[in-house]
Amino acid sequence: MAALANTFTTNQAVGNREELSDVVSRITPEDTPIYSLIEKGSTKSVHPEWETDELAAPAANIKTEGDEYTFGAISPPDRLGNYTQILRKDWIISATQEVVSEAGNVQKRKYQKLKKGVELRKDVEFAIVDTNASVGGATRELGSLSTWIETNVSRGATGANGGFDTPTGLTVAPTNGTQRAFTKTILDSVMQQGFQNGANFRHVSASPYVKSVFVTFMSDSNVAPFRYAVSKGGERNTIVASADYYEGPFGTVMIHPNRVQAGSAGLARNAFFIDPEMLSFLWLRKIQEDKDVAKTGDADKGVLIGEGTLKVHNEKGLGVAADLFGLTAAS
Amino acid sequence: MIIRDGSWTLYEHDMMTGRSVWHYFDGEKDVFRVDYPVDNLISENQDVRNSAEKAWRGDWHRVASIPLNIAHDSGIVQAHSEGDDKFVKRFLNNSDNRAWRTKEGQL
Repeated sequence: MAALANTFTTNQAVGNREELSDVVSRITPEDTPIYSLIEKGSTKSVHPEWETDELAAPAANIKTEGDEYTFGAISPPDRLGNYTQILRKDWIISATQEVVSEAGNVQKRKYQKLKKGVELRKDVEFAIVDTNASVGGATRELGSLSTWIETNVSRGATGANGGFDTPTGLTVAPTNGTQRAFTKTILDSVMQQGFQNGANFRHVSASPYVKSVFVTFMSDSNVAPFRYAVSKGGERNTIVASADYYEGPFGTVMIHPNRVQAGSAGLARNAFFIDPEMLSFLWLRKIQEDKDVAKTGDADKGVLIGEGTLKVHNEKGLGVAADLFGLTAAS
Repeated sequence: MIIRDGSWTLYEHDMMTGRSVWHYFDGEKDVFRVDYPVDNLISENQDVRNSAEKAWRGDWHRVASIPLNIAHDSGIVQAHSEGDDKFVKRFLNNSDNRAWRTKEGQL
């Protein structure tokens, strides 16, 4: 039924107050699982380097009595390095907007500074989990985790490792293979390779979907059906992020859902196996506000800036299950 | 409007999940605290625990699901990273933390 003629409705009203929620909800969580897990250090140059050495593979060692000595060649350690990357967030707010009353107080300097700081931290996480190879020069880029790992890997068909390229001193991005579903075989394969190569995987960082696939790997009757319990009043029918603790044949691991990795199919296709001792983040300049930005005009400018790089102590201690369907069963 | 809880200020709130992020400036650093309801996880863990087999058959066993902030605050993530398995096992075997366990038994 339509309203009777001349019914005065809110469409015609002039002075009705707007109602705008004062609590601003944004669904961009600030969690940075890998960055939070690893050690933070400092560097004094834009190109920190380190060396890795390894023992020769065990072999039969049988010598003749009275044998004359022979001397083997020494193989020098590998010299690795990564470049620092400058990360920045900036904003400018007119002096008027700064003082007017506003719902939620979102467009104010103090809030913006906080928000940009959180975003910057997530950008650090993004730089760790994406597939960006390292680049030197003025626009330096840090080589991400997946460009380093080449030992403990499981890739889809036609996928290829990247890895550190000694002649250029840069990492190479891996080649994407055919995407496949995450299976227990893939998990066991990476875990076993890691075990054989001396890695001590303790954490797995994966997109929330991949984490949910994990649950289905338990031996038959242990598979708990996926249930979403309805809590009191039927509200909040969403599972909260939790770290899952698994006991498996090659050690115990904790699985963390990484919401940064859920950002796109390109990020979600990798699940990282991490030994926190093999990874650290070095800051050349910690994230801080540049307080010397010149004031010009009737506005307030702000800049948050930081520069740092990822140090992969030894990629043999890390692993990746790549080319997974990371967002849904088919993407 | 600014919503406060002591010296903490509400930074964001997600109506769907009840997840809220609080902010506090300690004079040097910005500190964030995340609160979220865990009723769901507790009841889910209980369901899983009840339906899980008692025997330790098969390769992989999900032993516990711990809300992220509890996992970090209790030090279990750090202990696990550092290889302090005794601490982790003690934590998980402790009856106070039974709500997070998804499988019965002594670890």
